[in-house]
Amino acid sequence: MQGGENYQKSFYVFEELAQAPSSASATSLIAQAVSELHMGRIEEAETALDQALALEPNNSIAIANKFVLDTISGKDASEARAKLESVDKESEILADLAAKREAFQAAMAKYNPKFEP
Amino acid sequence: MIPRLDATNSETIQVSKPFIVDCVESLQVQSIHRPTARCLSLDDRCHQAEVEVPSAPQRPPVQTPYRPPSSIEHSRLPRDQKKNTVTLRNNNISPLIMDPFSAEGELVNIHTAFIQGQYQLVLSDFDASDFSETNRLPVKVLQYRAQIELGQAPEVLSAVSSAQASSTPDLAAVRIYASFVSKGAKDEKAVAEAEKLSEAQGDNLTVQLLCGTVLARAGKQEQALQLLAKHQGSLDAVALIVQIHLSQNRTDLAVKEAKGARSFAQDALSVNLAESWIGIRQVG
Repeated sequence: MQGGENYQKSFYVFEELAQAPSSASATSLIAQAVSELHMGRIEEAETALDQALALEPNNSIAIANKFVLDTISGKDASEARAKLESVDKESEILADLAAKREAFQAAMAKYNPKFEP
Repeated sequence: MIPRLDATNSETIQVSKPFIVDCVESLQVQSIHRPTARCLSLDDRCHQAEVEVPSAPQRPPVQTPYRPPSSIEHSRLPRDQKKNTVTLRNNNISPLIMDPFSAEGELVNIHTAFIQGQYQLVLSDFDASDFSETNRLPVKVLQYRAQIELGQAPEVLSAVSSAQASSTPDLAAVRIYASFVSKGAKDEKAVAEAEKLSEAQGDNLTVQLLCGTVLARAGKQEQALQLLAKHQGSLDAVALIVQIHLSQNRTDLAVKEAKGARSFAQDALSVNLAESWIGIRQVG
């Protein structure tokens, strides 16, 4: 079992909001999906995210989490990534990925590739 | 245990005349009992009004200053002994605050819809003209913020004129926020304006929330926290402070902030949400 009691508690709060018709919103559905991702419930998370995207197809936070979900479940994440780039170029996750790529390149520059014959 | 989510119950806690009388009477024993009823009701007459307390000549004068049951400043009910009345000092409370002692029940539904992320509902179900005059501006601000969340920042920018913004700090803050959201973090002009407005109008809750958001997103988290520290018991401000702490990986400070809010706003939805955001960052 991944995560713990705190994830579960948060999940209940978000799920209660997200699944009650009177309070449902993309925001709560995303929060529910993120809690489920933390608990390793990938399929349930995907269902919640799809519900969020049905409500707000261009919600950049929903797309960013879809990108994460596709990546950790081993799917092709390029579609979600491309969509995120088109909707929110300055998205936190894209900025973070760019920074990590830069750090990797900087580290790599210290080494010379050597190929043994 | 599952935290209870009961917005209508938790956010309409009001204070009634019996509560005030209760406070005055408890002054004699110099200890304050918390009101027994969970939801007391403070009607409009009590808001910013003096409430007559039946005169009781045999009462000994109270020597020690009255201490409120909770630590929030604005719940203090100073007693004017000469007139034998109690004054509710509510004038510093912003209407957006869902504070247990606030009389702003009228805003509960639209505010709940907003914090639940039901932005479409905020726009379609509420009309500022249906609200009492003092609440119209907060309703408009919530609706502009909902529009911005729905990606309509440019529409908000054209709806709020700069003339309106220069006469009303709340609307100035809305304009700055809308500009920042539509142009992204590189909008240095909006950031500079947010800094200026937070210096000039730092006591205004809308300024605190919207300029605080702009500053935090522009990487000036400490400045945002300084501005937000000026809030007067606002759960919206608490929620934003929690988010900023989480964005800085200071879960410990976020926990502290949420705990403080929990002590005066038992079941409020914002506090449940803030604790849940924190829960996602706490493993185990």
